[in-house]
Amino acid sequence: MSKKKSKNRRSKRKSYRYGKRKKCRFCQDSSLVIDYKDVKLLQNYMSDRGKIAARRVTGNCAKHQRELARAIRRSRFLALVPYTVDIYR
Amino acid sequence: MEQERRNYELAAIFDSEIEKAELDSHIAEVEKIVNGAGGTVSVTDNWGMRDFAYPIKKKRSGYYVFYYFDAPAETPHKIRDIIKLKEDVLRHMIVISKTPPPEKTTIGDIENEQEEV
Repeated sequence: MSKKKSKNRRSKRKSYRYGKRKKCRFCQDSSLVIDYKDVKLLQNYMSDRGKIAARRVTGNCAKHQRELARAIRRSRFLALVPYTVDIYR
Repeated sequence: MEQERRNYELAAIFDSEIEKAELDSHIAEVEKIVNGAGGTVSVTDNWGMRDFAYPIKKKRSGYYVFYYFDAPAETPHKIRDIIKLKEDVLRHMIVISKTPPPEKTTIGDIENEQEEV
């Protein structure tokens, strides 16, 4: 009983601290398809350094984050998106 | 027994130094390789010339062509073995296709997008 109570309290505090939890965009809208050829979509999930954005940033679910990361890696191989961006050049 | 066939996508990047007039014959040649290895090409999507995000074989741009085909499981290996030897294909990738192929080519759209940016 006491265990349950403390669990509830913690989740409440967590939600307060981090604000509203983002929902996975690809789960919300099933018409959105993750494809390695869709450069514009992939770049939404990359930093300006070319790194893949983490799940805590994107708010994606595990399944779609995995698909997204795979698409970005394929896209990188075809030189559609960069592996790395050198901003001091 | 009929062999199980799957949908694949072949992405091929052709050397930008190929003459525009010769490009079509190079594209057709790769299509022949796919068909010869047991595949059936349904759509060929030519994106046209595109700049690379990083240099490949010291080249800065190339022609992107995507082939959508269905084939039995051993075909991708056969295609790879042949395409690897073609020097005008800078890079290629064969993946299992999950998205349906485009109905028409998207050459115009992509060139326009690049001009805007």
